[in-house]
Amino acid sequence: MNDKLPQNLITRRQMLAQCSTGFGALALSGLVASPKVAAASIAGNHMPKAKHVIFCYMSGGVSHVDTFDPKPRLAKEHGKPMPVEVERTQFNNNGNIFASPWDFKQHGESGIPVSSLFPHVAESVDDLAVVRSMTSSVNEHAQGNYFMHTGIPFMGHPSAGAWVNYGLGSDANDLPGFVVLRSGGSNVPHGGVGLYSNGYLPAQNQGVMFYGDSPRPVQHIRPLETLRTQRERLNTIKSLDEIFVKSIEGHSEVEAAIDNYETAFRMQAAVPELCEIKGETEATKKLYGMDSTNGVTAAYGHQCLLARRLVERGVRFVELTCLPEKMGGGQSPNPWDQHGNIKSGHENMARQVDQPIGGLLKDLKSRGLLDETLVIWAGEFGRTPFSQGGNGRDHNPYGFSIWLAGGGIKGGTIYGATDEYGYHVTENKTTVYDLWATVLHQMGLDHKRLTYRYGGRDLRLTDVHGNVLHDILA
Amino acid sequence: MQQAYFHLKRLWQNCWPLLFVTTLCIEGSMVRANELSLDEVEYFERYIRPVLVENCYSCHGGEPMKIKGEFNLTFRDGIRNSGEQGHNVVPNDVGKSTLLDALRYDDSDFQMPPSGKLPELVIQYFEDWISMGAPDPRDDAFKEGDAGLEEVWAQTLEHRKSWWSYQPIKPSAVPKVEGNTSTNPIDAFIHASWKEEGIGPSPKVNPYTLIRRLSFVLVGLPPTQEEIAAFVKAYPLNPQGTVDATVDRLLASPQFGERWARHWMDWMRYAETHGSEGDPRIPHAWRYRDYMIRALNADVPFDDLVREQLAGDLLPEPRINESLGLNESKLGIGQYRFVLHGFAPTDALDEFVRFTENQVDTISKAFLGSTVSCARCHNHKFDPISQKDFYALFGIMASTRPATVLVDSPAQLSMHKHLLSANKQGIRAILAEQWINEVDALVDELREPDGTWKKSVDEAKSAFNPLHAWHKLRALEGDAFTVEWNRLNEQFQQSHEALVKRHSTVYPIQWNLGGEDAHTWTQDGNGVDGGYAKAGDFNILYEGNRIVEHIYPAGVYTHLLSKKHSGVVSSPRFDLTESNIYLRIIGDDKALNRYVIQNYPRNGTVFPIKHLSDGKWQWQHWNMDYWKWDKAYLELSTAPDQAILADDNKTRSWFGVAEALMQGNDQPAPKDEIAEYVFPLFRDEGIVSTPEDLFARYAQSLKESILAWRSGTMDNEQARYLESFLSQGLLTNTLAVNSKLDALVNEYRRLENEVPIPTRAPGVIENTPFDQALYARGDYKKPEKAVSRRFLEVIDSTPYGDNNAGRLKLAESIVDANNPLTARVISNRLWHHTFGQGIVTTPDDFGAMGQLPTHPALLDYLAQSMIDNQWSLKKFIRLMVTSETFQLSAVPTADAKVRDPNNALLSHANIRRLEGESIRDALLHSAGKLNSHAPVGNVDGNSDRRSIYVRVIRNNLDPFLSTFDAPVPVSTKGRRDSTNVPTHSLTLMNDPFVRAQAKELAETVSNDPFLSTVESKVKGLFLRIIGRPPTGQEVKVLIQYMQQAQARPAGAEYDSALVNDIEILTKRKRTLSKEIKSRVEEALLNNAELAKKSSNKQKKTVAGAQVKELDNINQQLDDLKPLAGPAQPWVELTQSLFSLKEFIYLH
Repeated sequence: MNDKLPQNLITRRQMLAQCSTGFGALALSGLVASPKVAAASIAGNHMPKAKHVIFCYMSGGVSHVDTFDPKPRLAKEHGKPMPVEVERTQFNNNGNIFASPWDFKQHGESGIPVSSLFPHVAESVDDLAVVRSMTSSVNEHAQGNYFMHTGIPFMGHPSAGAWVNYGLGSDANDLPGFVVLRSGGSNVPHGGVGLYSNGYLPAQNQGVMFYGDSPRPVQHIRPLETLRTQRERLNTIKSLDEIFVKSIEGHSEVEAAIDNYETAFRMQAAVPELCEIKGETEATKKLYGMDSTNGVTAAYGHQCLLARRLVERGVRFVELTCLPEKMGGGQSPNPWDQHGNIKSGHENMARQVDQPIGGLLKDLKSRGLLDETLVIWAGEFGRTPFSQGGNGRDHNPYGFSIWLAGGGIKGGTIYGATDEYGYHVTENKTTVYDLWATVLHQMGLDHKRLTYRYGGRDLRLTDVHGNVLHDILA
Repeated sequence: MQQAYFHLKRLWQNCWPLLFVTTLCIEGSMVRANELSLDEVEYFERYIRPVLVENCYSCHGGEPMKIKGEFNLTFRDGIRNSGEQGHNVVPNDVGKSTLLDALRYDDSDFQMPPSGKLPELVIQYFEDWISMGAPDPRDDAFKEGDAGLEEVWAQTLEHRKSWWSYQPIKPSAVPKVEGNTSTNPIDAFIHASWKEEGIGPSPKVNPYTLIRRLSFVLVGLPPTQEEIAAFVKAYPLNPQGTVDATVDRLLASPQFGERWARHWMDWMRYAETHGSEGDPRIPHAWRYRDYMIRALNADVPFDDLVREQLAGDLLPEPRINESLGLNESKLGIGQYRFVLHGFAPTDALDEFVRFTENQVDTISKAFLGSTVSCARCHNHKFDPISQKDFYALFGIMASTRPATVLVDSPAQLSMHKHLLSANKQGIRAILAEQWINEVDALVDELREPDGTWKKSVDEAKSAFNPLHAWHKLRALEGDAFTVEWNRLNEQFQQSHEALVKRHSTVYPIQWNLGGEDAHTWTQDGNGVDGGYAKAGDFNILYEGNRIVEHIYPAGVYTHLLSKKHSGVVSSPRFDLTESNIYLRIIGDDKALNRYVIQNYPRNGTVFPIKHLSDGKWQWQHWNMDYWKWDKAYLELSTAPDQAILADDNKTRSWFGVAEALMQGNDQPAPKDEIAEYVFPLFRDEGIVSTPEDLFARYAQSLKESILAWRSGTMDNEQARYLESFLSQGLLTNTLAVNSKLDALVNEYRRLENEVPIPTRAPGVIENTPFDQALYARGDYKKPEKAVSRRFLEVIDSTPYGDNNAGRLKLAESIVDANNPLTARVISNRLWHHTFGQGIVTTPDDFGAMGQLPTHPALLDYLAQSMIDNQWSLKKFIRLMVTSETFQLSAVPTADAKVRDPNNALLSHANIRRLEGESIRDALLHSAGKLNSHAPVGNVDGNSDRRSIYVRVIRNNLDPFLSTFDAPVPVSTKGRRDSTNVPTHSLTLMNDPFVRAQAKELAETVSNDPFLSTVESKVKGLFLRIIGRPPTGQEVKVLIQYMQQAQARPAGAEYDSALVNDIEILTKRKRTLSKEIKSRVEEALLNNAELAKKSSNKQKKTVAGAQVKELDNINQQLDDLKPLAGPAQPWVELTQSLFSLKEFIYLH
């Protein structure tokens, strides 16, 4: 019974978490004053650098050799067979070396090369840490998505956003701490909503879907009666509930459930207020590409702007979802997945997200929010340096690029490397566990100590792995 | 702190051996360390050795590679002086012993063990031990290598074995407690624990609450008004008698099974799809659900249920449901299939290991309360479960193959088989006679062919056709005839040599399914029997004018009696050492052929499949380069019978397989040989120099073939030869030729028509067992020695042997009397669902990471009574719900509040939120809308059926049930979460489903002529929803609401913000409509193509953004407009009652 003490703490914490109301920072309110202190006492012992995460998830798998990891050798040997052994691919339709259709240019003071697909993001390149040595252990979308979100390639485990909220609680009283944004026909990646699940963590940590441009941004958020009627009803309910609570001489869980109605009532106003982006200037909207004639760019811009608004309101973790290549287009769960025609596909996708994300980085910075907001840009894997079917690329989990910005990340950094073809990692191999260990670290949480006991084990976002990537920290 | 103290105190009182209070005596050590006193040895063994084994040896002992910092703590000199500095332990000198510094965590660079500081008490033991001279009986260090590791594990196992849950069940006598008047033994045990803590029980609960509690716990539904009335009336006269009678009624209700099957499904992670990309369905998964409902209603003993879940397909005497014609036992194995499957994994072994682990995980948690799968990478960190245990169970699971299986009773499956078979022989006899008589006339037909014969001869351009010879020779004479015959003969001889060569070639793997090899393949389904059909077997068409469809060479066929019969036929498991697989197969109606890599049951990019749809023989070739060195098997299945790709719409489907082989690229691909088809014609060596010679040959070869067919002695070549004549319509094969034949065929068809379409369910097919290699550190790329299939070594490590179904033995081990876990685990699960909190509050984990039992003696008493009552679940549940303990009020006494705030001692009832299923069911039930019939298959969440029937689609779980914590089906869930999130409130406030039920009930009550006043209506509503009459105060609040609401103007006048919103939106709507219209008109002027499109398409094309906004606005207006109408006070009130905590909390 050598771990009696921490076990009791966790048990009590879990119990409190179950009794809490709302999405708020109440997990430990009975024990400590501030959620940050709570986190430190449970899982960390250092001051946090970041308070929020914005996760721009590029579902389908962005080609690293066409975006952030230039490989001149591909152009030189275009059309020749791969000189190294080719690993199993998902379509087993492997062609020859395939040069990138885009030019790379160095940007900023750091001179980090970025391809012509991302001109807007390139303007903020000195804020980015490009990790060129990310790897995944799976080669398929749904499993890859689960792996990137939860560290386990299958459903049932808590998403990173849920872990962050579990560890820190939320600063937002009327909003969930983990929000997944949708807009304009964007879809949930393969694997479904389980990607945003709280898994075995308490339910208030789950990702809540906001349809940013819909009249019903959140399920059941619109009353079926006038607000005044509802108010009267809720008052009646409350009167009766109080009689009940009195009859059972008080019960913390029931009392919490009563309070819940007030939170829900407030959300009905808070959520639409948030999603209608009134009060933002035209200049701001323009910065995010919301004036774009390209509908998908405008819609993704809406998500990026909402992400900032959510962060401003204290939401811990915001995840964005890509739209299909074109409005109403197909392949919506994995729009970056160009097994054929990568030229037009990646161009369409980059046009969708580049300006909005570039705008987000600039806006966060100018408002002083970038320091406390960690922006992550990543897909579930990269793409092969050789072609599939002549003009596409298959999945490549053996080495690909992601980037991080803000929240104490050392801008202008390149970390890790792939071989001359961009096929395998050759330097500083990085895993998703390293990514999340680093993110948690920046949030003031020790990934080894942020655990939850379930099924007889103390489980972690980083399983039994993970090293903080100190080289990319400021 | 109060709580922690209380907990610890209970531990001591109950005297469960704690981890560090073990006695462990090793005789040898005692002899060699004879300078030590018995007390000293006892101290070391009790307080020191277990701590070392548990916390230190994994890094500082055993494996030489892992002796960190050269500290070897496994022997006396090692613990005293190994390592760089030495003086780790200095006898009698606490200050100098650096080991203590590490244990105390004083120096941040030197803290041991790294997993966390040991409790102060344990550190104190070490201090005391050093102070007494550090007596240590261990002379020698552990041996190096495996032997050392095994010794460490043996010691670890030995003392972990003393964990309470592995001790034999020791039922104590029912305590006699002063003041306890109940005859129910549960009450005596519970009462005794109150005495110990000095608290008393709360009073009994009122009858309204009690009937509601009984009803929800037993059938998951609120009581009806009539049931409430009857109970409340009878209760005061005879409380216990009324409870007993009500319990009996509820236990006998069919809805009992619907309630408790859902609990069971939580334990077995029930789902109807496999998840991941594509989220494919698990065909017929719902049959497992219905089977569980029936089984629990029938009170099938729990040990039998375990046998069925593990090995229902292997039971010597399965449970047959005569009225449904089902083999109930076999439905149990559906649970193996509720695993997740990835989509087209490029690493199939990874997938295999993962889903097999999930099977081990589920079974071990559900039935043993053990987390065996924690030992995949290393011995369990806390429990007496070794890594070998994991692979022993893994091998048992891995010896199966995922499949869709038949669950009909044997009688159903074999219906008319004998009659059909006999009939078929009759048909064969008549046909054979008919054909023999026709042979002589054939020669005449050949001489001057016309009609069918002419056509056949004219078209016999292929050398595979027996008539090809005549086709070639008919225009020739004299030498030219002889020359051509010799050429044909030569062609035949070459083909024959090639055939002989192929037959004598040794391939890395080859199977002749027309011979004994068929027995080595796995054959499942009622169309196959494990053997093979001899050459000449044939099938009768079930309709049409033709009679025999085909005559076949020897092989395995599924349809020799009926195409409604099923077949799943698969090869042994083999290593893909070569590039090519060939199968010689025939089939139709979407029969499926595929290769299976590492048991992966889905198709996908690199998992191709082939549907057979032409009824023609073919050599199916699969190139296996991609999967080289993986484990594979070959599989053929009739259309509705594959594990996932099953096509239920194809009620008739069939295939046959004759050969299969694997070969390298350097060997020629097998192909059809001419000699296989015309052998009978060329068999004789005599001379053929004239047409008459040839005709004689045709006549003789055909006659011999028919005779051989009649006597069942034909060879493959004769079968193909005869089939050729038959298929060309050259032999009589139609009705209305022979009346006796017609009668037989008609009778055959009548019988065939009655053959039932099999009932299918998810399951597995038993296969040749193999022992699974242990994977070093769980890495499947590092296989080590294979582990025998067996049970957990802590209970019984006897291997199950080679030639048997390990699953059946595993089931027996699980329910064996010597295994104390199973009875305790199920008793605790039932207790949990009855009282809202288990005696062990971690029902899925009875190991060291789980919680200790609050009432260990009671748990053992219950476990023993479970066994003594032949594992009857209903009797067990009856015992619990008829106890006085169950009938207590939920209001704690003042003492209990202070001394037992968690209500571990059950001095009052636990308040708990209803499961999502019960909330949804109660909504429908209160509204009078609940349809109590079980659907065939599953239903949508908006349906009027009970929630257990709502579909469980992994990537799209029902939002209502998920909101209220229905589990995500991935592994055993013995205790559901009960969370509190605003989504609950939003759902009850704004979900149209809830609103619809409120409307329904409001109408019923407000129109009820017997409820004439507002007060009586309000009371009626309250009773129907909350299950008791409202108090005066409550009535006042409700009436007040009604008065307020009825006086309220229409929404528009009532809520000015609403009017404003509607106005703004309406204005914008007009502007948008105009803009869209003018844009379309303008565009039409310049674009002729546009005019061809529909009006909607036109709008979307030229004004997409505006159309979208307009849709959006229309949606908002739709939402707002009803709100602007008059108030609906009764609906509002009803829905408000649905939102009451008393509605969703059981107390």
